[in-house]
Amino acid sequence: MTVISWLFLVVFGYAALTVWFAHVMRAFRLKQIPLVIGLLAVPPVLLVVMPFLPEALRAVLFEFLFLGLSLLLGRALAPKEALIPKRETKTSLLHLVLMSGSALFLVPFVWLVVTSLKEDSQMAKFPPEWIPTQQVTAQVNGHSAGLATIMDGGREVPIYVIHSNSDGTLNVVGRTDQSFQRTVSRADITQEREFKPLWKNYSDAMKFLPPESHYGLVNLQNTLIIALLGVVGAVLSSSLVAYSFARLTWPGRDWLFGILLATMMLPDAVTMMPRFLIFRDLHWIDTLYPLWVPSFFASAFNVFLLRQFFMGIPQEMEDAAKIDGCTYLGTYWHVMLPMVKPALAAVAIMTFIGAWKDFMNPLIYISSPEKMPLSYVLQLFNSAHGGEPGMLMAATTMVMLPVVLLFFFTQRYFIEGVSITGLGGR
Amino acid sequence: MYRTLLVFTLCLFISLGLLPAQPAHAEQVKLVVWGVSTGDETKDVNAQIDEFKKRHPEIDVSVLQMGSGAMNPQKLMTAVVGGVPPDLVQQDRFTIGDWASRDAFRPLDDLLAADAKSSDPLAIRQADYVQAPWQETQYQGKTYAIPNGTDDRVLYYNKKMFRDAGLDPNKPPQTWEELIDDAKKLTKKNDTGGFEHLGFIPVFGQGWLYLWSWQMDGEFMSPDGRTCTMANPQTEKALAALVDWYKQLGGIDAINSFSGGFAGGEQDPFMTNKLAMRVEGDGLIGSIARYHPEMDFGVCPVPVPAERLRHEGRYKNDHTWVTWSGGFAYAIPSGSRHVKEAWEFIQWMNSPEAALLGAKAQAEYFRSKGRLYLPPIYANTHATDLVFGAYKGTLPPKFLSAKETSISLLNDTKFRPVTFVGQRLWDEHVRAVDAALRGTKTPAQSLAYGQQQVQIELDKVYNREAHPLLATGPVTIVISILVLIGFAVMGIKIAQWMRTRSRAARNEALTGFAFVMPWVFGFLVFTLGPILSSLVLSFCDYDVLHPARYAGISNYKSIVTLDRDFILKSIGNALYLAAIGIPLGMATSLAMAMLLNSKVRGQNFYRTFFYMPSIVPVVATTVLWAWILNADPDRGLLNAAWQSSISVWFHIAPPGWLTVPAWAKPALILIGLWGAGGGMILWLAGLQAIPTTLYEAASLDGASPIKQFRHITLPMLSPYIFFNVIMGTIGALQTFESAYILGGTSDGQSTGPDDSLLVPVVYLFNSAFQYFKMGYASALAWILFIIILGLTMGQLKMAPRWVHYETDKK
Repeated sequence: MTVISWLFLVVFGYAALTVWFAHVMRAFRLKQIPLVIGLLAVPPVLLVVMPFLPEALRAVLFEFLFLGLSLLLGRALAPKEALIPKRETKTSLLHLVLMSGSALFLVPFVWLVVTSLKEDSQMAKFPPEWIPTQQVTAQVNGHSAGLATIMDGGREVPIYVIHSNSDGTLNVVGRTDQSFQRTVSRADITQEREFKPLWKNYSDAMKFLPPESHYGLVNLQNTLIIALLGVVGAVLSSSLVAYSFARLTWPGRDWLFGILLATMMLPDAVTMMPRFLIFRDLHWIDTLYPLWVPSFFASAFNVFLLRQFFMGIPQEMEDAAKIDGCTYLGTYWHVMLPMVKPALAAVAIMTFIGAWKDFMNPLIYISSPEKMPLSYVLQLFNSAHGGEPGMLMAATTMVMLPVVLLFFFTQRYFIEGVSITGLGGR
Repeated sequence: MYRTLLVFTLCLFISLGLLPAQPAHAEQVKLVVWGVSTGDETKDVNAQIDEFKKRHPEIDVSVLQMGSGAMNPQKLMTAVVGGVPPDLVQQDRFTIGDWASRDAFRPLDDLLAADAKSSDPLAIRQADYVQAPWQETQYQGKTYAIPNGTDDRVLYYNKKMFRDAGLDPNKPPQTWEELIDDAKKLTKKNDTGGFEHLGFIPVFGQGWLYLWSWQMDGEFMSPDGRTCTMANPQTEKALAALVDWYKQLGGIDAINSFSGGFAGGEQDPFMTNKLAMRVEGDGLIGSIARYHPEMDFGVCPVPVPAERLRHEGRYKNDHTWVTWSGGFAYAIPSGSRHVKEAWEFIQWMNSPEAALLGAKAQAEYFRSKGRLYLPPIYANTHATDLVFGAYKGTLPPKFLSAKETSISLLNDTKFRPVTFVGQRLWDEHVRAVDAALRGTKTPAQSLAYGQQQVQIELDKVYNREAHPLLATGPVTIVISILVLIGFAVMGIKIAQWMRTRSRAARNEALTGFAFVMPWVFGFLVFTLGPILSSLVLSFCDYDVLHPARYAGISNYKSIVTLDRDFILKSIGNALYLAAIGIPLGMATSLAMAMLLNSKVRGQNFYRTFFYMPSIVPVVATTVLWAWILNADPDRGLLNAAWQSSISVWFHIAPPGWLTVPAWAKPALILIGLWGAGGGMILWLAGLQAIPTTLYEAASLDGASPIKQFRHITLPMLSPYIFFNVIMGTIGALQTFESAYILGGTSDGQSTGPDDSLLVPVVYLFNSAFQYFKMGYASALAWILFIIILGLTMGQLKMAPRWVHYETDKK
């Protein structure tokens, strides 16, 4: 297929789909049920008809018919409406583009899961195989044998693969004709395969982890510890410090805030080594402490963010609390904090994700497998088993899964929280 | 209700993790061993460890591979420096000098002395060992490791090809002249100018220059280890001989493109009659047994110069044959807490009894797979005798004679010089050979250059002693005084302020101080303190295991002179990533945000799909994309798509992505684009803040959508663009994780093909945590800081020209 024809197919295909979808949307809007049913029936009908079309022009004809049938149905069942729905066309195209974009972005995820369920023999295939399969097996004389076929003098003979020899050849026996016994090389046979995901990759991945990590549960635990303790530390300390910068007056406040802003520009690399030396003197190397204790000391970014929010709360709230005899700590806890909940959620979520993804700090500080968080143990797995994609992808899926699931259930907070960061001040 | 249940289970799960870890049994000692691989194929090691556990029920052995093959140096160094080393490591012998010089391993002489007096059959005695491996573990008169396995190099020749070429298969070449003559007879070119088969490739396999140079008595280091002597006349002659051989056999380009198509395993060129003779370790015997046991081959010592064979001139009292050995050894890191148990482990694993036990297990495993078992060579000669004696009856004659030849050569075997620049020496010698063979330098020039580089490294360390110890006393006093003065001044100012305020205001101020304390404390301890000490360190020479030494500006000098190329390359890489990655990333997220800004149903769904890739841990993303970007179209998804579309239309071959320098950085950028959904949210917020009245007015005036975009959207978004550009640049210059994981092997050099993924922070990280040159790394960090500061200032200055702030926006 040349570039031109491929481009033509893509553009025309999009146009056809847009028109079809626009018709569907207009039919829904005008509550024309027969039209809706007719339009929805077009794709299945065409798929059935497709094999009967001549091979060379199949795709073009398919798209042509698609467009034509949509327009025809529209004209037939809704003669008073315009041929191409103006109102819905833009929306329809937008949906299409968004769907294509999302599909493109999701392809790596799909490939990840598919690879994790495939056998090694399926990994090096061109074109790539999207369906994990394994050889069909049957019990023959008490042993498990694989099913295959072999070409023998022009005929295709169904066989069982009885034994594989140490020099690479195979002993095979006919399925229907028991007297057909040969020793052949692997290249001569074609395996019969069925859809069967290789779940063993997942159990193997867990098995190959060091025993101390109890099939990765300990690593999950470590990651959770770092993440949750980090969140608690960040939320508490940043809000307290931000409150002080935002609402309390004390000498040197603005000057110190300037310094806080300046530290945001400092590259981590400058403080990396002395921090290592500090933790070494505290005997905290190879423990989880260096990973979550610093979050109890308020990071500049979080303080900056929360300060903006605190400044947006009307002064009256605080004055009312003061008049009622509330201490500063009480005002902070009972009045201010509840009012900035969205921002706190944003801080909590960003800290959580940051701790979950963190790789450099565990790389520096942790060496025992029972203390490693998930991100680091995956890299260790990668360097030890990088050449085994099935198992590696299974391990990667398992590392990604908790955070993706969490994301699905708390999406709203995620995205709202981050967008609040963007809105910033009022 | 479900929420509280979830929270409760989560807390329970976590609190279990916070409990201190218990050893398997209360009285057991946990012996942590690194660098030993255990798995399905290593039945011998598994059996040996199981037996050890049985004999020592009080020891719980925990084995960790820590990187494939070689011990991951960064992990080991960090563990030793951090005071939590493993109890025992298995380490490649030729790096022992390096570790010993840093006092990272514990000298074992006291344990050896005790064993010399004891009558324990498992006691370790020097006399039981092959001398070369033993010498390789000595550094400055002390023993730092006990060798366990060893090998040597021999010449393999294909008897069938000998017969076909009219040569006597029972008379392999013995001198260099005979070697090249035979090789030429065994070479056949095909019609298109390539080779059908080749007689010999001098530097292929284990044909390193070391071997040829030692055959001419050319040494690489002086005996005292202080000078590199790589550029001596004998080595030069050896290298010149190699250059000449390549010319005689067909020229380096033809030979290299022939060998470029070589495969391993079953398709090994020697076993498939493509290469007639080959210098290789004795491990090849095992490969032949596994893949082509029917092959008709022979093994002999590597041919030597004719004068050596005849013992003329300088060779009068030399051994005839030369070979050298490598292998692994067990070492006990400094600070290991279970020295006695570790020593017991070494005694057992090196004993003939354990060797036989392991051999039996491995042989049984091989038999069950229908493979021939070949006994290995051990550093302990009694072990080799015992195991070889037990299994030699099972070996077919050609394998038996091959094994016997390689074992017999162990008496005269040499070993690579023990020096802390071992790795550097190796790298430079490879570089020198390459340059000489390609003709870019003469042998004399390339060896001289290599020697100079190694000597520079040597001098650096020896001159270290010349630097004075950092006078930590005075430095601390000076800094403390400055800090106290600072506090005093602040105190006075605060007191002044307080005096003129009411009690309520004073109360508020004190509360303010109290609340801000967490940040202040963190700032002083984790930010200001480290900044100052890193500044001080950058003028020092500090490797953590020894006290710091004041070294003036030598760190900065080396950055600007010796390592300038490296530094410039890393900064160049980072700037490339910034210059191309940031605009592309911003354009992608902006495009996504604009698409999502319209009111379509199901917007949430789409937002989710676009955003999801950015919350995935970087490690997982990188591992996944490394697989997708696999250069082989049979495996890598992207290249498969390329092969079926772009290759067909434009006849452009699929790029090599991470295996090729030109495409490694674009690969990194591509991976970053997948996560562009993260930035999309910010743009959405920015877009929604633009008042629609502007767009309405513009469309009333007849502006097209493109004009509207250029004159309304972009200017209104410019504060966000500006923010993104600054944060993006700072971020790109500090890229670490993806570059480290993609570029890396586990034994340290994480820099991608031809250093194309070398970014500043990776270089810094390696300097700091792999070589523990903390002073040098601090200097690097400060240079990076200055560069970032400069770029940010520059961008801030340029801002008023194009960043548009609405005057009525706060």
